[in-house]
Parts: sequence; structure tokens; C-alpha cells
Amino acid sequence: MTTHASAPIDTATTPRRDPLTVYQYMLTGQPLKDNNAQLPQTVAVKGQPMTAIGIDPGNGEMKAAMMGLDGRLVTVQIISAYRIAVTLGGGKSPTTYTVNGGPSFWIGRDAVQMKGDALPIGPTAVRLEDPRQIDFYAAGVVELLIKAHCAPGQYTLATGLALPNMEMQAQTKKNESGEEVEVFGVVEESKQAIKDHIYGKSYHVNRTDEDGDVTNWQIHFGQVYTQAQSYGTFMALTHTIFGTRRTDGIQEYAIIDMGRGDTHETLIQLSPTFRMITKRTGEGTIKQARAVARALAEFDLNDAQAQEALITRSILDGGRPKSINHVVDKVVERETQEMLSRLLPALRNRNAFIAFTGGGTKDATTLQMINDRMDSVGRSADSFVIVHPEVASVLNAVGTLLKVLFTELARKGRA
Amino acid sequence: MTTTPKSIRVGQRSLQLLEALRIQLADQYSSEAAILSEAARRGLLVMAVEAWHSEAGQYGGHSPKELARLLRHELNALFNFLLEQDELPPMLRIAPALLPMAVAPMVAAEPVSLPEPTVATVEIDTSVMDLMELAGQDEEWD
Repeated sequence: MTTHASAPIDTATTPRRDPLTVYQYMLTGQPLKDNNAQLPQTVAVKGQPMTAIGIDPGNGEMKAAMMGLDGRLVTVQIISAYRIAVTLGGGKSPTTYTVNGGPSFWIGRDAVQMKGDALPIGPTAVRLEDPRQIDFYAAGVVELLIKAHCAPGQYTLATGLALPNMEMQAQTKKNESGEEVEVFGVVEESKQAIKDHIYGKSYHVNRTDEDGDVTNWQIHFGQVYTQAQSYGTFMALTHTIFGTRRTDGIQEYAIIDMGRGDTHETLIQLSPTFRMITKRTGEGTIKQARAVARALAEFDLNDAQAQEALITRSILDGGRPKSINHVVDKVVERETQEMLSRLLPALRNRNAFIAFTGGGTKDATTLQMINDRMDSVGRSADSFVIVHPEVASVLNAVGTLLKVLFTELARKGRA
Repeated sequence: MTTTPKSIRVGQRSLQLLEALRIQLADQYSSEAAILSEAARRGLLVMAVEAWHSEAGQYGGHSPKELARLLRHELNALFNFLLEQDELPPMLRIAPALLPMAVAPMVAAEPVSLPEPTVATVEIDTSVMDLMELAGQDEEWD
């Protein structure tokens, strides 16, 4: 074996590694650290320390993200299902919550297994009208804090909310130089709902886990930041942890978000001026889930159970898990073909780089069909990306967390 | 102090702990019931900090200051032990505060600071705001 004397590294000629995008960090599961610096768990908002979190309320699942103290991203995904807790005849009770002294309830997969209801689908204002919704969000935030190893206690939160794209409306404003620019703001109905139920509101969550251990959490939504959900995906895909943009020369993005309730197409133009155009192109995976429920009518599945059956491709039949691959395959194939047909103009838009994201990309059949369709319309592999299924669901939540962190850190930097 | 009999169910893990304590602390407590009674007294005080609602029974009937003093007395031994074992939670270590506090202190009577972090917070390219402000303006919520 030959050895070479190590020469000193010439930093002037050694190519410097480009900082990774947040999405690249997520793919590797590495802490968001670079050059011994990391994104923090807390930010100072008008001088007050707050724990930064990002929430993508979602239609089928609530997704939330925050930074761990070690720089790792911590995320949770909780099925939007709710069930008033009942006393069980035997066995361990699922984790139970009460919020502000209200009724005890279960959420997520536990609620689905206990035949709970899916929470309402629709605009933010419609969802928040249902009092169960905010209780569900509060419990979900507690699960996020627990996953980030936070101790029970009082938390003031700087909360990023990923809103449905259609709830962000373009307005014309003058910037500091007096030029007219298009700025996106929250539509009035959603804004009022956020003021009524989230901004400045406190929720006391009492949590009893499966072992009967009780903890109390007081969460206060101290500040709220809003962002179109698909812009969150753009942020995570294209920004480094330093806030710099890495677009590799791309000037136009089409984000196709296959969510549960809706499929959205958002066009983001970076040049010559920033523009964001968003449109709903149809229903999301709820359509597939309901088709599965219709195909398995004898099981009388509600939305939450049907969604679960769609994802797990399994159902309890006579007490035993039974594969429903054949049903799901048929439904997914039909519905994905239809969705891709509706998206055809976007897929043929050669000007834009396309990013497919959302929970819909989790399905292997869907993935294959997207690849096939892109091939058939002559798109090269470097003109689109299908966000990795492992991170697709939480990308909007991470993007909105970045909004909180970048906003406050940049303000501090500018001060 | 008068006592009232109360029947409670104790989990397996707590029972194992109780048995171990019974052996270790036999000279201080004459029975398992005596240990449980003391555990309830101390535990209830700790739980009182969670009863923050401004309703009857707030902080277990104590004023916040009074509860803080009671806890300080009760928890001194605990903090000493954690200090000896170098296991004090970060928020109770006294060090220059480079980051804001992650958690509001639940029991400390005086402001505490986070330890010096081993890594710094990133310095943000403030131009990130240019697009972000267009994509989602600062809303006025008040």
C-alpha cells in the first residue's frame, strides 16, 4: 500500500461544497447543521422567546414540525380523526386528552380504530367552526413537543400555518421603493377564523398516556405566520438552512400538491418578477379513499377509515387483517389516470420545473404512473422531481416552520 | 398532622420502586403506607404548579409565591443530587444566555438561562425575506 504525505488543503482552490437544501437534509435525516451552526428551536418575537413550530393543518392529517435542540427536524403526522373517549371494558386506554377542561377524547389512529369521526374537510374557517378541530390541533402540538423531548409546561409558540393555496389572495401594494408589487395575504374569512381560534389563544391540554401517566401542557399561540402551503414546499426544496436560495438556475416552478382534500397546481415564477399563481385541479386522495369505501360498501367505512384502508391496503374482516390490494390498485389506477389527465396542460408546460408532492405520492402505483406519464409527454428526468414519499407529507409543515425561523432570524439580522 | 385513609391503585413500576425504597429508607419510614403518604404529599405539591387555571383551587390553594417557596424547600435535595450527577436540566444551569429560553421555568423562582450552546444559530441571508414577504405578508392580527 502506498501512502501519500498529506498536503495542506488550499482553501483558495478547493471547490467549496454547496450548502444543502433543507429538503436534502430531510432525505438524509441529518441534523440541520452546517459550519457548526444550526437552526434554533426558539426565536425572539418582539423580544419575547417563543418556540417555533410549523403546522400544516391538512385535510386528512395534521402535520407539524419543529427543531430539536440537537438541530434535528422533529415532525408528527396525525390522522384528522376524533373520538370522545369512553371507558373501556379491558385493556389499556389509548392516549387521552382534554383541552381547557372539555371532554376527554382520542385522536389519530387510536380514534380511527375506535370508530371515530374524520374531522371536517374544507376551508380553514369551516374546519375551525367545529370545536373539535382546535382541540385536535392543541393535542397534536403537544405530541410534537413530546417528540422533541420538551417537558410538560408552558409554551408560547411562534406558529407558522400552511394555509390552503386558495386562501391566500394577491393584493397590490407599494414596496419601500414606492413600486407596486403583488403581495399575498390571507383571505378575510380565514383570517377571522385564525383570530377567533388561534392567534393569542391559550389551550390547556391534559394528556393521559397508555400507562395512565398524566401531564399538563399550557400552549399559547403567541404569534402566527401564514403562508400558502405549496410555497412551503418551494421553501424546503430550494432553501438552505442559511436562507439562501439554491434553484440551480431554475426560474419557474410548478408545484403539484396531491393532498387529501384537493390537488393543487401552484406556479412560482422567480424572474423577471416574483409571481405565484395557484389553482385547484381537482379532489385529492379523499376521492380515492371514498372510491375504496364504495368498493367495500359492506364494511361501512367512514372517511378516516377509508383513508387508512387506502394507505395500509388492509382492512379488518371478521377480526383479521385482510389485504385489499386488488381493490386499491384498481381505484388508484383509475383515479390517478383521471388526475393526470386534468394535469396534462401543466405537465406539458415545458417552461416550468415540476415538483410533485403531497401524501398522494406515497402510493407506489401513483409514483409509477406519474413517471410513465412524464416519460410519455417527453419530459427529461432533470425537469421534474417527485418529492420522496418519506418526506412529501411533512414538507409543507417544514416549509412553514422555515417561514417562522427565517422571518425572525432575518429581522434580528437586519436590526 | 391528621391523616385520612384513601385507597389508591398503584402501578407495577411504582410498586417496584416502593419496595426498593422500603428497604433503603426503613429507618425513616415505618411502613409502605408511610412512604406512600410522604410521596403523595411531595407529589401533590409538584402537581400544584400545573393547576394554573384562575379558578378555585389554583396552585392547590397556595399563592404562587408560597408554592414556589414550598417547592424550593422540597426540591433542594433533588437539585443537589442532579447537580452532583451533572444532570441538571439545561434550563437550570447558570450560563450566559446566547439563545432564548426554550421552556418557561416551572419551578425556579428566579430567571434562569440556557447553557452556552455547542453550536451557534445560523446567520440568515436576510434577502430570504424579499420573496417570503411577497408570498405571505405579515398579517396584523390585533
